[in-house]
Amino acid sequence: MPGNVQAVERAAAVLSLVASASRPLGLADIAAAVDLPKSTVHGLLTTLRSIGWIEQDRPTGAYRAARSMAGLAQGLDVADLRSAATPWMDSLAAQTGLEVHLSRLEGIEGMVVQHVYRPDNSPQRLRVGERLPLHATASGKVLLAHARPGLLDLEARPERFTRHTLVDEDEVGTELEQARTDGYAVEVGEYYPDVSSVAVPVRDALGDPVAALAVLGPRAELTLGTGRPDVVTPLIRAAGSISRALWVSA
Amino acid sequence: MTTRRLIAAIDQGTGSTRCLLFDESGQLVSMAQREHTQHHPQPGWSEHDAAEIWSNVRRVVPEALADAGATPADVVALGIANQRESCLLWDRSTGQPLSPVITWEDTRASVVVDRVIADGHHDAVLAATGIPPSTYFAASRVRWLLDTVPDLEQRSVRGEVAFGTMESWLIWNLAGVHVTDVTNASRTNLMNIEALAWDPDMLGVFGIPEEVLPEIRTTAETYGKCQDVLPGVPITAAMGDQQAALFGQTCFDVGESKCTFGTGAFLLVNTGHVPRRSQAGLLSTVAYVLPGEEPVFALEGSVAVTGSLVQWCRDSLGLVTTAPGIETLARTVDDNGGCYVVPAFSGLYAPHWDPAARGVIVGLTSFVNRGHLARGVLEATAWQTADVVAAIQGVLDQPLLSLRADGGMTTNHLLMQTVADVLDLRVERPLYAETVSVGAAYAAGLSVGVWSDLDSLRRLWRRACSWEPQMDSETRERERARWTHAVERAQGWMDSSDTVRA
Repeated sequence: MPGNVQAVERAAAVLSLVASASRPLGLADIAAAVDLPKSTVHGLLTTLRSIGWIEQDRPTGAYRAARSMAGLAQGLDVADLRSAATPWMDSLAAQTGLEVHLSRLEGIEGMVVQHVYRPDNSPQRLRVGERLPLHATASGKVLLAHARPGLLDLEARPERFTRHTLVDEDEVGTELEQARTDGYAVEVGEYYPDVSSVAVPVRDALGDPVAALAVLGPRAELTLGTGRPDVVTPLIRAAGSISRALWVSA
Repeated sequence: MTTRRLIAAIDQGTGSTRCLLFDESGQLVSMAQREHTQHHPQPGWSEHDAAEIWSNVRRVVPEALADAGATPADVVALGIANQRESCLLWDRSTGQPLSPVITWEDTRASVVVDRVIADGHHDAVLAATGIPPSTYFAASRVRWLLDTVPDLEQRSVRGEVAFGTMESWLIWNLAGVHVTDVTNASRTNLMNIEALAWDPDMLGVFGIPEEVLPEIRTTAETYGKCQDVLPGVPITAAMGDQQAALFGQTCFDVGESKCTFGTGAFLLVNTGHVPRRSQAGLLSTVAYVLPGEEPVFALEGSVAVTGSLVQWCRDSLGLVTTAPGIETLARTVDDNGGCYVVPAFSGLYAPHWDPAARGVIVGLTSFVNRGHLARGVLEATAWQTADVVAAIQGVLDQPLLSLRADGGMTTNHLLMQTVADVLDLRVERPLYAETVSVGAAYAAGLSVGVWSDLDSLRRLWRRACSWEPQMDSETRERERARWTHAVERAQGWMDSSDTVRA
């Protein structure tokens, strides 16, 4: 975009990142996420702080948006998202018999913000707050496919978790293109060898993806053949219900 | 198409009336809901319109059927759960209400309760009914109506007037019979908790003519067949909403407990076949009675202010813009920073029972910020629950093994983890959050043999989430001591003249 003032663009990127984060962010996190050198980002943060748009946590030195910025750049509150989504995640789990995750983009990772257990009363561990690699999970692929370009480059070197993990940049790129076309993303043993998953985006009132909704289970239960998995229809329906619940609560 | 076997549940709640349809696997098929008007004609008065609620039933049931693509012929049984203690009187010949629904929140009948206590009946009422005389329960409100509405007492004695809690009103309109279920009857101050029958002495104490009373029936039996709304469908279960939630959480064994975290919190523990004496602000109540089986009792402890404290932080302080947002704010800090909130907005309930207490925020230093305050707010719900659990543990012979949670606040992970931490108990959330309707449907289905026994219902319960205690005992005891210290600061704040006015 010729004519744009680069410094303003960069400051806006930093401000919206900090304002939409659910926790205060450190300099290194911010620099990585906006893909700028730490020294540049430090200058931007210092200026934003002197204006009073950004505050610094005293003990940790981490940055957060000033209260006056609330509503300007603030993203959807994670607790509001969870509250709106939970009833629909429950019914999705009941319907499919599978584990259900809701995840959001947090820096250059996904983060599980709500988790409904596989409804078989087997011992399970609560995974809320767990970080997910973007390239190796269905949720991550959905988040990545709809994120701004270049986010994948920030992942230092895509880690290989199983022999199925896609680590080649082109392969991942093709996968993301497919996810955008299909409206869902698939993970087949790429993070844990015995776990497969299908995910779809959850959109806000503007149609922007704000989260990924996923079901997880053994490959056989997700009927992952060549065509569209059976779980996609209930997933899309649940994601639509969550979106409508978000509009109502907004 | 194969014939469907659906179970309908009507949840006639304080704020709305809902109809939910379930299939034989216990899965929710459809739901319809309609709110009704809250009337507050005077301070302390709280009324609903019985005719409005009945017309809402006539709307939500067909809506739920339509959403499921079902007809009344697909429904094998109807169960009703209802807001407890709210009641009305109606004309037996015309079916027209002779009073508004006076709700459980209404305190107009305090004159009646004061008189009963002044006449020295407190201990007798507690011994006979398991609950102390209170405006919370129905008897005092009936007496107030008989004292206030012209001719009502004479007409009542002549047998022209019917009294009922909400399930009675709905069953009367649906099936034309005048019955109540035993769990609802246990919340009137009129039913003998041992005999499970209207107590003649209590009718005398409150001055209630026997002629107005419905017949007391078990929780799960066929009361009659619907002539309206769901023609031909038998009504096979009714229970108070908190008991329905206990049933829906399948707490069928002694020591199994559930807590509903809403604007307030209601904790009920199954205490088995013998009623435990109410003490320390805990109420002894009927959990359920199945035909031909021994009754099952529960102890109930309520916390008046939990979710409503968060709403207060949103609406009166502007601390957060949405209620769930309190968790996000609380997570900006690692602990409460020394700040404790005791939300004794209208006194303290179980187990402290101090009407003169008022809310306090203590431990403030310049270090304390909004996040710490949010932590203190969430911890207040956890510690108030812990106080109720401690009181219950003092009465029960065996320790609680876990707590089954439901209600809107269960999406707050920080709160649920804190509850698990301070109780030192596993907290579990079931897959079906609508535990009140689930309980009514389970009891109704059990009644008609859709499910064979309590074990087959127990197998339908599904864990959606669980929180394991992670706090070390040293931290827990230190925090408990500080919370107790904060509660002491809140106690006795009002002087006696202020208290009377409140």
